[in-house]
Amino acid sequence: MIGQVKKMIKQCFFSQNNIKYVDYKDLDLIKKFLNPHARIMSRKKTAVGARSQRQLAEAIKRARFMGLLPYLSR
Amino acid sequence: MEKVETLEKEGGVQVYELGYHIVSTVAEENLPKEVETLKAIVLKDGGSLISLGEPKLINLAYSMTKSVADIKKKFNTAYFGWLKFETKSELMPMIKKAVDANPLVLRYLLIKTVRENTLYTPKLNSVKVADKEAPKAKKSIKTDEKKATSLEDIDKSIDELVVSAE
Repeated sequence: MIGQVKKMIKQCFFSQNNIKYVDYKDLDLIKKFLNPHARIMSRKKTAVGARSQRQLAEAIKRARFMGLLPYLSR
Repeated sequence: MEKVETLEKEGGVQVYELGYHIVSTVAEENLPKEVETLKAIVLKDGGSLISLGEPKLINLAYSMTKSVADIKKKFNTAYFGWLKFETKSELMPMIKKAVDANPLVLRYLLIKTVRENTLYTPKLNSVKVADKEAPKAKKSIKTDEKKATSLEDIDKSIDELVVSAE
């Protein structure tokens, strides 16, 4: 039984789709990584790579500054 | 440091992007004129335009204020557009000052970027659809061939039967 248990290995969304640059205007993409309170989701939940997470965080902060995304919601 | 080195070209030429909000009080007919003024600021002294996004009226996620001539105004909507251009890095302070001085620009963001299109478009879906369609077409061709051969066979067998009966 122990041998039959398989772990699902998550992979980084950005490396899977060959996204090398996260654009702050790409709201449909960015919104996938925000929780209902408009906070940035952790890498633990999304399995995004470290470099991509840094790029994503910067893109989200730029979008917030430009009023494309809220700083907080609900 | 590596990132900066890869982004910056020889002679201090660099790709930049100017994202801007034009105040919603501007009439839609006058928008192209405002975009042209921004373009002129950005392309001064030998800059070149790479791509642009036409300004569109959007609802802002939160209200923004802008004070023009000591009067504060609140805005909940604005025309959002962007310009991607290439220019010398020494000119950036001048460009910043010029955009700051424009009373119709509610807010702007000036960033370093790359020449390529950075907007993500889902390519996987289109590939999947094409893959799914292709085998179906093949199958239909095969079935047509089969039908044709079977009809010929039937005709032949009927002819043979008629001959044998005679």
